Amino acid sequence: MINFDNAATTGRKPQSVKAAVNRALSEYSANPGRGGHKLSLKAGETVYEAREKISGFFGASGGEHVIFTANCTSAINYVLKGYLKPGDHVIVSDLEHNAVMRPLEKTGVQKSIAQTSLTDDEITVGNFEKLIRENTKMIFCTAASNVCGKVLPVKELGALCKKRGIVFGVDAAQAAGILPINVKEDGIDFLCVAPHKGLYAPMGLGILIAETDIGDTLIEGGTGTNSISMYQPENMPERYESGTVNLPAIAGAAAGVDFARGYAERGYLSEMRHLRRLYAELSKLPYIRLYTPAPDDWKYMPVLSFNVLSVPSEKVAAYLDKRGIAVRAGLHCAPAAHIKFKTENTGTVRISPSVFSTAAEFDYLIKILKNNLLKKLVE
Amino acid sequence: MNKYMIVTPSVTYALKGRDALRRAGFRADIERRNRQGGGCGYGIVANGDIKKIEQVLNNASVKILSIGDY
Repeated sequence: MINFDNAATTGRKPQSVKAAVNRALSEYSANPGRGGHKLSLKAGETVYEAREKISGFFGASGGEHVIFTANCTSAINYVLKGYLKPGDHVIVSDLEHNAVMRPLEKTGVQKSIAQTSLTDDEITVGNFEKLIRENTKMIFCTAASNVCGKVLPVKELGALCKKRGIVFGVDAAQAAGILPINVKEDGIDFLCVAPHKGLYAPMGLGILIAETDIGDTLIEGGTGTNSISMYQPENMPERYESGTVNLPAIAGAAAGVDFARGYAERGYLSEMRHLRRLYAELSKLPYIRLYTPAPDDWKYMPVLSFNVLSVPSEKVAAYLDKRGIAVRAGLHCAPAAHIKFKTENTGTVRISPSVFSTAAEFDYLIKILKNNLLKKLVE
Repeated sequence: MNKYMIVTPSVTYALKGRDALRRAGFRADIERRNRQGGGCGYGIVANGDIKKIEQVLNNASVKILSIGDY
């Protein structure tokens, strides 16, 4: 099976990640930060070393600012529900995932949606700035769309937030590990990461880097600290880490950081070369609808959405699945982006390679898409 | 040389403090401690001048709950 659904989760994991996960499970499978025995301490050191490594990779202030959560969605929930209060106003982009939109809806805070430009980042930043009000507490946006791959001008938005005294949160589910992100240089207060994507780590782990105090907790419970007290500890990261953390996935994420350090730029550029070739071939086909300009390096992620006229995207994905190609169809949990592209009814077919994708795999995909596709789909 | 048990709010700070002290040339280890003091299940056991030890931990932003003789 050729996996072109890596924006959902990177399908093939590096050997180093698998080895780190295996070591955690087989050599020191103990509860970190709880027991006093050597295995527990080894597990605790593994978690600590992972925090330090992740902090360094994303330019954070230290390992204690790295909070492990169940997934990236949990990290986003911690930020939006912990930091925002009734009466606050928040600005998001028109490309947000439901991981942002649904928790925001639940909080009941006021929100405005800034239009993004697919070609001019200055317009995007200007659109955010125009929406700032007296009670605007936060800009929270994706670093890159999981539907069309557009990279948002994170550094410029971070500078805007600093200038206007607003907190800046970033959903880096798609971008972290692939695009360079430095929370200090980019002015990011809260960075939410899905390590099972760009860091090639296992699923079941999210990372929240909090450079600013989050405030309230969403979940309370055992932290391995000050157990006699009935209140959550004040200190990060334990304040936000009730219950046992996912040690094997954390070990895998640390190995994934090393992998990304070695591969990220080279891998990204290789994926983008493949994707531009695909884009060029698709743009020649009269029955293919594309929604973005040809993707430029660093302005787009290796994610491409298309449709075959008005054929439901699920039908196209099923057709490709039968021919050994895995892609994602539908709304990709990001209805806001589909409203922007007017694809709410069909969804889109999404192609997302990984650093392991090959030219031969793209050749095969292109061959299928060019070979009487429309006729075969409507037969 | 005097030996101290330094209690931190969590194992994260204990490990951070241990590493900071080692980098500064101190002998430092993590040990299980008893529950008095309100911290985590671990403390930093360090040898040396306590004023300098405190300075290293403060510079590394390691929060200290208490310091006692070991």
